Amino acid sequence: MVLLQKKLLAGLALLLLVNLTGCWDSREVEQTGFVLGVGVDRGKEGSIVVIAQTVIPQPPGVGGNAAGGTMGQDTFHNWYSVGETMFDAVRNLTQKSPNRLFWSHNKIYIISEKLAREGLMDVMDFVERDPEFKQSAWILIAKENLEEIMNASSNMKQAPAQVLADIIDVRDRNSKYAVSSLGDFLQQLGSDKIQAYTAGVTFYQGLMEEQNTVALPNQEKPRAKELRVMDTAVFKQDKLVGWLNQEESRGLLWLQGKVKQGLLVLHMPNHKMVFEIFNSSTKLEPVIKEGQLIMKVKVKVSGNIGEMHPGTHMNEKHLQETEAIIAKTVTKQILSAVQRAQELNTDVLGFAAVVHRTYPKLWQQELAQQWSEIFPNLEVEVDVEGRVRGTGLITDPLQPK
Amino acid sequence: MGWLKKLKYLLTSPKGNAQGVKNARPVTFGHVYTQEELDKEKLSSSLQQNIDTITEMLGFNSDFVKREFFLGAEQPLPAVIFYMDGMIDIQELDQGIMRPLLESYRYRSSGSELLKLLHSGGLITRAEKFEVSSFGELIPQVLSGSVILLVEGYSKAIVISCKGYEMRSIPEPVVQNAVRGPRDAFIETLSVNISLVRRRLPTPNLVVETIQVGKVSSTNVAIVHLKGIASEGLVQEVYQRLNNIDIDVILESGYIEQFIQDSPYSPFPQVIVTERPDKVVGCLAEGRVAIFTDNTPLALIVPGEFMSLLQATEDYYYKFYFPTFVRLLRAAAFLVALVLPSLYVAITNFHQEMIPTTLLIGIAAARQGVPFPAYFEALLMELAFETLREAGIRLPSPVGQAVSIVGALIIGQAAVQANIVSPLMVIVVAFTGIATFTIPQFNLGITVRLLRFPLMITAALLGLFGVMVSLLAILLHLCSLRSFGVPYLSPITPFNWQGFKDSLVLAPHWSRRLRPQELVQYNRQSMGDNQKPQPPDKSN
Repeated sequence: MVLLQKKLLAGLALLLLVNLTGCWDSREVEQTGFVLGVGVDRGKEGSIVVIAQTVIPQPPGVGGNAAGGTMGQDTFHNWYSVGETMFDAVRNLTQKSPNRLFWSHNKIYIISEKLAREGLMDVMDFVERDPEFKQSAWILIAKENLEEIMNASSNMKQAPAQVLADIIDVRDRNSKYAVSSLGDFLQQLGSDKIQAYTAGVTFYQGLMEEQNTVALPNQEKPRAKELRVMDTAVFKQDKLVGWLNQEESRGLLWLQGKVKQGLLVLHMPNHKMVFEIFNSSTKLEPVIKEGQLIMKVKVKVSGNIGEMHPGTHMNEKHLQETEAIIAKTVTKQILSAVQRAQELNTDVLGFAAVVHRTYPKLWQQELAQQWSEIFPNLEVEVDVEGRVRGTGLITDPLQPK
Repeated sequence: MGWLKKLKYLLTSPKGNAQGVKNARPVTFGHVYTQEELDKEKLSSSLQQNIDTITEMLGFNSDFVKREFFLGAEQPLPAVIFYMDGMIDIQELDQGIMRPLLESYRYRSSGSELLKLLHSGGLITRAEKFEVSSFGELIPQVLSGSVILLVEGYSKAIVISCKGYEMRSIPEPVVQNAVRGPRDAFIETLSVNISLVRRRLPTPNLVVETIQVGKVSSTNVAIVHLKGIASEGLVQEVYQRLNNIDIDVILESGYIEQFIQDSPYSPFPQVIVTERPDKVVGCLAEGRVAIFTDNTPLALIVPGEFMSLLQATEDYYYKFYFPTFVRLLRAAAFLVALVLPSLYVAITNFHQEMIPTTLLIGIAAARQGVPFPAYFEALLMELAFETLREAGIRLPSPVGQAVSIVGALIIGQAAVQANIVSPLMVIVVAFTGIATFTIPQFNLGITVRLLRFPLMITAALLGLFGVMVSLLAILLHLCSLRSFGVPYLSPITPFNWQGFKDSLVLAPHWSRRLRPQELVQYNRQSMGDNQKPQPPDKSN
């Protein structure tokens, strides 16, 4: 009986323990600040500025979906903090935020252009080392004031980081900028075969009026800021050295084999035509001809005619012309990217990796050391095969009569 | 049992209150009979002595009926019949027993001649009739609804079966409903239940053996199996386990279930319980053994391994696609019912990176202002749900519905609005509850309901790690279980292909040619070859 009583008591004590323990890594959802976006800038005297964007969960039943919001209520909050280093700044956030910040849902990591030009190794180690940061987050370079970008949202008052993540999710539809995930970016930084690149982010004054501000009677209501992801920042080692514009960015995407959708606006002799890309494949082949390294690029692209201006008649001959112009346009895009990268002398195109793969011995022996001299003068031969698969539902455009 | 002695003393002692009180109970505590005593006591040839003995044993019962009369016109023999009121068919007693006995003087006059006729099987028209010579045999017969005829000078009692007690008509299944399939279910009467099975299996190989279990209740327990299919070892084992039961009273088959289980401490049921005759017949044909208990509308079937507990009879009546889908669904629902609350607790408390961002924000929003930690909320809601369910069963049926509506809808809604629980938790608990009901065997459902709580506690303490450890512990336990020698998780592990065709999935009937390997050793083929339907040969 005594033993039984003791056992019972032990059982009771165990049950009580459940209520007493803190469970060291247990975390109630409502007491956690979910960081959706992080912005990093260089402050005064070499300090690091961290802006953490958390969502404010909207109570259910008030209207609007959970991630969106209701009129007049903030759905996100930007926490601003300064520290000597990245981690220091992040930890200083706890002086301000009542909730413990949780970084695993971070979608966007924005670095100011100023910091990127100085070199961003100072702010990369922490995000690589800390287990809460997800490598699948996107890294972006702020082309404008970071604080304003982190504040710019007019889309249902969604958190800007969420808006940016959603914009990047449909990047294939336009294929006009090349963006890297945090994981890829870190890998590019650590590799001598490819230099880092990622997309830029900026804001502009949208058409919609700002909702929450009160304008004076004879004053126009201010326009809300809207976000835009554009261009591609190109790095040399950890320093931003230049930008690729839309055309050059597309060239970079061609070389990476990442153009899966998007449009090609074709300038035909006397009209314009739009070719919608359905599929493409890219093959890089370095060859050594007469002691000279030549990069051969073979691109196959297929798609549909998406738009055509009146006055044209689609026939076999015209189709061949179109395919030739497609090839020409793509070639131009690729060469512009190559030219820009060579100007900046930074191998964001990943040519070094291909050469290494094809000629491992040669690369070890000499090419690796000489690459910074070889790359700017590397001859690139582009061979594009364009194919029009169809013309959509109609062949000829409507003729006004 | 000190208090009993005290009570006895109070009632019987001359100084006790009982004597002094007016209208004191006339019956005293008489002798307590044991079966051995009764067996020793033989019937005498003196009628009066026999009457005295029986009256001493049963005479004080108000439902005990004694009718004395004379047999024959000349030299009449005094005779008497006994029966228990309410246990016999009065109509039959009058027409089939009393009338021939009393009107017998029309044909034969002498009492001794009539006795001779009676002895040779004449006179009484009831079919079931036999003679006993000891009180040990006589008393249980009269108590179970037979009429006893005693004649002066004859030292044997004539037992005439005239059972006719009130019983339910055959109902529809209450717990194990089906859309397709027979609508009859067992009732409390053993003989009727057996007849429901026998009607479906008119074969001499259907064996029904009855033994009495319970020292006081002498409950009839029938072991039913199909000769030639059920393995003899299994039948022998069932017989022995039942024979070893030494208990006063068997109220329900649940008593038997607990006495014959392989692992008495396991929370998992190791016996199939059913109220459907078609289920019993299906199981008999697979080589299982059914145990019927008198006064129980439920039959036990052994062995009951895990997969068979997730199967409903109805599965076999549909084309195999649907049962396969439903069985997988049930298996999923079983898992959901077991782990959903603990998964919710573990993930929301420990692994927030696993939830899609939007959902997580939704959860956080829903939990704004909820005062309790998630695990406590889960425990609270689960206990509330169990309370509602228990109340729903216990309540009188006119009130039950009102209470369940009030409980489920109004209290749930109010609790959410009062911010005591989050709406998501209500969804989790409600879905868990619904998932429990997909398990065809209610005793397995009970197990799941119970195991949910330790799982929730480990989830609250250790997160997903705790859930995995608990699930692993349950799995190890299941692997070690056996039901009447059959591994509990067969045919999944140890795997066998023939068995698998009728486990998580259900193969077409024509492709399941062999009976389950773990049950049947010989005579495994249950149908002819090439049973798969083919289009007729066109050349003919």
